[in-house]
Amino acid sequence: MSFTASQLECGFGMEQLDANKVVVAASTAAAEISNAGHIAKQLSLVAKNARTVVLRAGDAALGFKVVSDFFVELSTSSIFLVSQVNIVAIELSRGAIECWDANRLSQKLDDVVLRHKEEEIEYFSSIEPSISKGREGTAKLNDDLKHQIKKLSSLVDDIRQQMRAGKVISVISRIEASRAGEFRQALEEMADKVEALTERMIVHIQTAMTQLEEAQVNN
Amino acid sequence: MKSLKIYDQQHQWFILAREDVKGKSLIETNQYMVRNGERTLIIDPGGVELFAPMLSSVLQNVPIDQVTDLFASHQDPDVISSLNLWDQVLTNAKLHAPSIWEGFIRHFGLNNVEYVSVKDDGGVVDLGGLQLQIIPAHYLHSSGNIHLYDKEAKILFSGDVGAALEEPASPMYVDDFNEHISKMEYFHKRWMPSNTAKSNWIERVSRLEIDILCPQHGRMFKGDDVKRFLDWFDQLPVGIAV
Repeated sequence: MSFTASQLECGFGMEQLDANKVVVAASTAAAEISNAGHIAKQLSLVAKNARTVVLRAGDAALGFKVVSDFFVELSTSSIFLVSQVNIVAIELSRGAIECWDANRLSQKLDDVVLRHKEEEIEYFSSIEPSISKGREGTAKLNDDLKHQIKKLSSLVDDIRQQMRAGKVISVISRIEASRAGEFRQALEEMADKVEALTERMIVHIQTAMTQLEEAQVNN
Repeated sequence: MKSLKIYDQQHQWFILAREDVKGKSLIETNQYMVRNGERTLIIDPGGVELFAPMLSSVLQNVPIDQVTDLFASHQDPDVISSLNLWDQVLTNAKLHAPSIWEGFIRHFGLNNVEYVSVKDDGGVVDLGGLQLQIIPAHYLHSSGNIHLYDKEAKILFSGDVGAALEEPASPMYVDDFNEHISKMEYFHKRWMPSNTAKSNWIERVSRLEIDILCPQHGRMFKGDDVKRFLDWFDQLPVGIAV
């Protein structure tokens, strides 16, 4: 493990996030969640179709009505959460780029410090306020970044919890479909679709979570 | 990075150059600095990779709060990609650069430094009473290109005109013009796109009194070598890639 002079001298070496990693993680997480959002829209259509079938089936599919209502709500809420994730992911990317810029300046100024140690620079003291300000700014940006990652992770985790619940309900929906008489086949097919869609969403969400977790691990 | 005072009267000119950035395949660049009292102008401050040695060299000569002006002859990265870093350490500075590049140069990152748009017909940089004349040099090589002339010091900063491709350890001044031609011929033929622009520039610049011609790459020309260069450039066909 090695640190740049700026990381060591800023005094937060072990705590510092890798801004490059955060930019990539935030963008990847946003892309994965956006893919999950597209699937949530498909889920919404399937759930609405199911509700139509349920209305036609009447009493024969009463049990499935609760299930289809649940999936309509789930998809609506997922679509909303995805939009929130995108907003936070963009903020996070911007913050990480700002942090990366500040780190870059810090590293260049550290180089000036080293040059000053090798050969005295006459007006070195005039740049010292910029060096201090840069280090304070980098530390603050680093803290902001950690806060934003937590916020984004929490939103992604909310979607993950919803999808886990959705997967459980999709299993129950198959039981309800089996009691729907002549509508059984149509509803079972819908239950299969719902299960497949929630599984696909979970894969994207899991990838997003992994990216965000890795971004929080130090070099 | 070497720092050499090339004019020292009421105001001063410095060349900051010959930094050997090993293993990075960077074109070698000359940066210039004009100090007049408590005002200092940095001409073509350079790329990101040069920021630390440049800042160190500047601080050898002036405190940072006296760096009040930057000048970018055009938009190239070797000229001004360090802008975002200067922007963070200069508290009250202006950047004089071609108006047509404003929207492009701002992509390097500009939050604190004020962009002073130089119109196509040039203008003046007033450095604490010292009037530096901005000479249009469009299409030499950039479509929006400016040079800087100091009438008092008889110095012309000529951007890429007069540039040569050579080693970082080369001397600051041309010592044998004929020998120097081979180092600058291809650069001018290939980078300069317009014979019309070239002739127009030579015609205008020949009317100026020039003791030192300062290009952004390679060696400076002084005394008779200035005229030798203008004559050589005048007969050189440029824009060879088509």
